[in-house]
Amino acid sequence: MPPPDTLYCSQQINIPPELPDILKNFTKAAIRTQPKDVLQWCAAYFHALAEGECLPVKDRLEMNVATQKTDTGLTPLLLKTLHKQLSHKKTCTKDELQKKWKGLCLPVDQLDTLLSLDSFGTDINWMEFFALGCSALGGTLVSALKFACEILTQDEEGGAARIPFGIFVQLYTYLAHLDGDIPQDHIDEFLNSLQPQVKLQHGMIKPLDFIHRDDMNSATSDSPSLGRATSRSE
Amino acid sequence: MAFASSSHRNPAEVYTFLSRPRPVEGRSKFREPPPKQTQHSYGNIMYDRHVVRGSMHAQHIAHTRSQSNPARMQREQVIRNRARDQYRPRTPEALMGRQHVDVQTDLYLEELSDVIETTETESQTDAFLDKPATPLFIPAKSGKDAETQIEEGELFDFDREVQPVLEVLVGKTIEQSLLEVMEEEELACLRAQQRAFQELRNSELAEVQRLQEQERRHSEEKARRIAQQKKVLEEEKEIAEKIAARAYTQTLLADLLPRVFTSLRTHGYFYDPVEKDIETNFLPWLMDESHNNMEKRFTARQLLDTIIYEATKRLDEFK
Repeated sequence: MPPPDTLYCSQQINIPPELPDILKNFTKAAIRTQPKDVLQWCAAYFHALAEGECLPVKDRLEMNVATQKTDTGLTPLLLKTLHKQLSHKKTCTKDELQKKWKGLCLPVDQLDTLLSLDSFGTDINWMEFFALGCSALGGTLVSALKFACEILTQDEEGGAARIPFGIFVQLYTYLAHLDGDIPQDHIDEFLNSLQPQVKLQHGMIKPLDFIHRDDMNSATSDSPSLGRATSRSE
Repeated sequence: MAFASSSHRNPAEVYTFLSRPRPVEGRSKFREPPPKQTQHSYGNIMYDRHVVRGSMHAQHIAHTRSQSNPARMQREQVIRNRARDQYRPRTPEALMGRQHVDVQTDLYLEELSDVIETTETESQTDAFLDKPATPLFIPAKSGKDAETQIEEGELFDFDREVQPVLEVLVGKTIEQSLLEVMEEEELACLRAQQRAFQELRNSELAEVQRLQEQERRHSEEKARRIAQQKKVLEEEKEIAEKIAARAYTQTLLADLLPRVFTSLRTHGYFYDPVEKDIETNFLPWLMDESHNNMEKRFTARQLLDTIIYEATKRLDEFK
């Protein structure tokens, strides 16, 4: 009901009943996401809420990881948030990506760096950009794929992070091609060696499978055998 | 009353008193029976002269009747007075050599008379009047006059009033959301840890199972090998026994055949048929024939002998 013309006492102040819930959710999202620029993130949040899109909120509170390659930029959970927001379509426009990137208060120059790694037009294939983001998180190919597994998995946190093998192949081939150093037969050999393990796990692959296998040249005798032993025991 | 007490009066000290406690005299629980005279006074209450008998209505009529007879009433009154006077206590007689004197003790004389002067007066309260309206109590004026006018917005200032509401709203919201985020974080951490532990446990369990399987297979293999070996040994033993038995029987039966043959031969199973025939048929016949011949010869000889004998005998006889 509209407020009366003259208010005489504090009991007449009317608070909309939905307001506390909205405020609470907003505060929780802000605490979890810890944006650098609260106002900008705030605008992005409410815009997304109003449009009914996915909210730019991290799933969990993330303490700043000390082993980050980039200090003020992308973190795995932020990449995951971006993925949630943009993965419903296969491609997204550069503007959209920029808007979402800024909404999470990430530095724009990092975005430019990433986009410059590969030639992107106005439409960007989301999985490719995702792969680039993963490689920005982890320095090597394997660690990038490990991050990808952890981000994309449907498993609970702490468990074996499994993703479908098709996605894994896609990401790996893209990154390997981008890298340029790794020859094609190496790629094929690597992927084939993972096949039997994948078949055992109904088409899913997890980081444990490829983390030890990748360093084929310099691996010690213990870890691959342990890896193989554990995989054989599945 | 005998009681133990001592009251000393020490010359230098204060008066003291003490008495030994004594038990109280018991008093009887019931009162004494009343003295005997009072018992006589019990009588029928209806015949007591203090009790009025008859109906009240009759008494009223009797009372009015006596009023109409004043002379009789006066006489009764005189009789009553005299009775009263007789029983009234009087001043005692004066002692020897003294006499009673009437003395005026009061200042003013007062006439004592039986007739009491009376005047009759009446009074009547006034009819009730309505209470008049109380006059308005207007206290005396004290202090100064002052006036004021409430302007728009002076009674209620939104910013000031809304402050406590806002404080609670925002403060509580932030506090609550912080608590909830921390709780969720804690729960998620716990779950993650649980999951990680579960994974580790599963892999270790798988390893353990694999080792168990291996162990089982090994032991099975071992058991099978042992059994196999035992069987082999047994077979060998059997074979050795068989061989020994065969050798023995062979040696035993080595000369069985020749012996059999010799024995058969000795028993005449292998015979030359001609020889046999000769033996079985010819020779017995021969023997028989020769026997016969011999018999004949014998008989002949005997006959001859007899003849000779006879002949000789006869010869003898003829000599």
